[in-house]
Amino acid sequence: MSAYFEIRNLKVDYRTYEKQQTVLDIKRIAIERGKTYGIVGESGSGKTVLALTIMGLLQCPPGIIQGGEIIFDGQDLLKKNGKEMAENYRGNRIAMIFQDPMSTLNPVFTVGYQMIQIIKQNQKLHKKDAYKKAVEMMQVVKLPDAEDIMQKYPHQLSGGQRQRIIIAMALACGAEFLIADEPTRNLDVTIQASILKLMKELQHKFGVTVLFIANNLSLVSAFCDEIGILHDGRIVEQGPVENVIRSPQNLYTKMLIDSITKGENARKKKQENDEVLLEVRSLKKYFPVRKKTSEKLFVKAVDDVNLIVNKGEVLGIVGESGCGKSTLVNTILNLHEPTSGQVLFEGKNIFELDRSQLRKTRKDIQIVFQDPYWSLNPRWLVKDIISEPIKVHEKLDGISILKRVEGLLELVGLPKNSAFKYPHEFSGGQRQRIAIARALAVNPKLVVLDEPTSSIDVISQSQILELLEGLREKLGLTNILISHDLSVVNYMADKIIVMYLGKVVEYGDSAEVFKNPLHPYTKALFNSIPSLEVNGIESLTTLEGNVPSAINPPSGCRFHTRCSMASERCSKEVPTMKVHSDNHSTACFLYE
Amino acid sequence: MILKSSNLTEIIKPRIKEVGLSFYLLKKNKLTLAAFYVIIAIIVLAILAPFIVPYPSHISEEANAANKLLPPSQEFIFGTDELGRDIFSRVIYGTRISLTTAVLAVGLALLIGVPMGAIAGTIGGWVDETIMRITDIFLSFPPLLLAIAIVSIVGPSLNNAVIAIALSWWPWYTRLVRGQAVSLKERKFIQAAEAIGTSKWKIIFSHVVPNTISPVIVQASMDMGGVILTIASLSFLGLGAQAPTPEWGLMISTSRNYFLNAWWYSIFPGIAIFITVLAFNLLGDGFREIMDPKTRKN
Repeated sequence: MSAYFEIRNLKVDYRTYEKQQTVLDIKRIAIERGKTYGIVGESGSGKTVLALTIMGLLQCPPGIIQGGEIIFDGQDLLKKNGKEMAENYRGNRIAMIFQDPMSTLNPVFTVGYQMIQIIKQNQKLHKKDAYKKAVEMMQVVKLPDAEDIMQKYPHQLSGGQRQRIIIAMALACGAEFLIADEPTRNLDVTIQASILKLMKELQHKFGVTVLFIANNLSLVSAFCDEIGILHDGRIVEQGPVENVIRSPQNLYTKMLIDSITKGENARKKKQENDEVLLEVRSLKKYFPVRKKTSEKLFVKAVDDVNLIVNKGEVLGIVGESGCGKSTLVNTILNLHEPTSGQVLFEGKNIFELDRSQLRKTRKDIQIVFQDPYWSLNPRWLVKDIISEPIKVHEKLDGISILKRVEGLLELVGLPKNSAFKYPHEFSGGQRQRIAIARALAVNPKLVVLDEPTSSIDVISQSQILELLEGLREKLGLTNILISHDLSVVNYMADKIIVMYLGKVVEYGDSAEVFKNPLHPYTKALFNSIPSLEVNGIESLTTLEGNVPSAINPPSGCRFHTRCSMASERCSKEVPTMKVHSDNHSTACFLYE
Repeated sequence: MILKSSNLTEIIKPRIKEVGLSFYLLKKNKLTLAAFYVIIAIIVLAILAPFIVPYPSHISEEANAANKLLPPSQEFIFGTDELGRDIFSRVIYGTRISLTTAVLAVGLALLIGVPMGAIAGTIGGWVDETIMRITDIFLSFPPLLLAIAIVSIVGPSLNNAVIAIALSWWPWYTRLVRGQAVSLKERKFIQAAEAIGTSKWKIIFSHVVPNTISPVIVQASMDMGGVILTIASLSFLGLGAQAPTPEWGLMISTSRNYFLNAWWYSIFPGIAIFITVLAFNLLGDGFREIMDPKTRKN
């Protein structure tokens, strides 16, 4: 007797032009009806191949299904032909939620039209009934103003709303088995928490069985009953969440768990240094919006931000997408002209420098970007990439440059012969090391780290963090660290700034802020992140509603529209930063 | 020494692998492979033309009225023309002219078009506006018509035809490269270079241009056919190559007078144009598939 859903001895190969290799080799996965099974794996571990194979959507070639069985409700899905899968399983009994809802929705039709089409097709309903059903499902996934949203095109909705619609579509067709492939990857943490809560709630309501695929162990362990760790196409360990997390048997699982728990509270007390390196004074950056009407509108990306970075310090900037953290950093780097305000680097306003002084400042402030796949010129050799700043700022001959490059490669832990390779020959973590080497090439005083670990795998993440921490101690660097991943900030930062819609809402020593967050937004942000200790999704805090538009931000405190503690005063007056205790200040009326 | 021998093989190996992959993809598409071989053959013919043609002296105006307008035979496999010259020799020699003029015209167009596009796309603002409006003016004439107009101003000759074609062709590359450059500008490595302090010109020519090269190569290889055709057309109209140059278009033009009596005179240069243009178009398509995986067929 087999389980409701079971995979047995599944083996999938991929053929490239030089060789054929096994990408998936799974002995057994069994899921009981109504349960949630989570698969954790890094990129390239075969997660997506597995999902596509189950759905019968694997491209063959280059994929080759060597053998095995995928039993769903007593039937072997691998024995079904394409037509049977499309008619009887895919869409109506088994549904899939993709990473990017935009790729599932057709951009040229309204979401309502798309839902009605799918319902008509799958449930053989008339247009009117299908419409009713669609509205009903929108309400089930808690989209307010369902009838209004039906008229909208996908790009007019936020990522969270789009993902809700995908879930609504899956459930509208009566899916009983749901494959969720990193459904919250591109969403902000507070939105992620609400989507996960919704999924959990609907799972109980409709009795859906879920196969949840993600690269984030904490997320999966909070959401699922059982987990399987996928590594190089094999399930290296599986079992109930508790067992796997508490007493991992496999070496890889242990590494994975270590890399997560190590991030927390590893920060040492650093010596105080009061020498100011960078100071930002009431910086504003507005982007004009083109509108048909003659009135001038602006996106207030950064609105009146003040901050100070002392020498040898790491300042963490935290906030969700659209909060203005990247704009802030780009303005500090002088990639944007500010609307008003000053950025003082070593006491000099960088916007008033002449050309040669500006060049010198450029040398002193370097940046490491988020995505090492896009931040390195794919047509350049690594030696050329790393030596670019050297060539711009120093006059050195070829041999000395190459020597310097080799030294830098060694510093960031890459072999010397990497110098003559192209970026695509490296993994994500290695590329990030190249980007770090480039940033360090001309001995900068300040290095800005823009989400340095968010697009690389978990294990490389912790290695990169260790490297950065080590380099900081060795070279006495000052860092500004931007991240939406709080554990990264917690690991590295001495001070932290929390931003919401272009404003700073909280500032303080990071240990203090993490221990005792003041602003309601900071609290919500901290509590919306699943950790290995959190039991179940229910304990996460969620924020209702969407992030308001930065063109027309809410009056008074910008957070009041989503704040559970908001009073009338919050919508009328703008709170200012008030010192609460030593080195800890916040902009909220609750603490006055 | 930095480049030790073991190091060297490690550096070269991946490069060989990449070439191997390109060739593998080329081989998968039979039509492209055929076009590839045809073009290799045409190039070889063009290089060796003076040594392999049976009557090298017939390239110029040496007349032998006794052999006038003979049909294909053992002696003259493509027949002879109105001056008794061997058409086979002239057609083979014609590959030389067509290929060199096409390469020159496309090369010149690239030389103007690519930097203009890269500058427009990277710098933006009024520079972009100006360059793009100029290209719009050029693009609002059919390329052949524009080329005819230019040649009639500067006077008919093969060199002028090449220049005219380059002048009417560059805006296409400008547009293509500008589009690429605009999207590249959003890529982080361009921003990284800016943050490092790299100068605008360095960014344009060492970051932007190399990254636009794949679509440019595809476009250029497809255009080769079109340019060969245009040169032939100009010569046909008397605006390109002048007698006695063995240019295909010119040969067809002259053959019109003898069309009813000597079919071979016009048919063989015609076939030569057809094969060359088709081969370049197929190769261009193939290149696009190799370089842009999205258009790849399974």
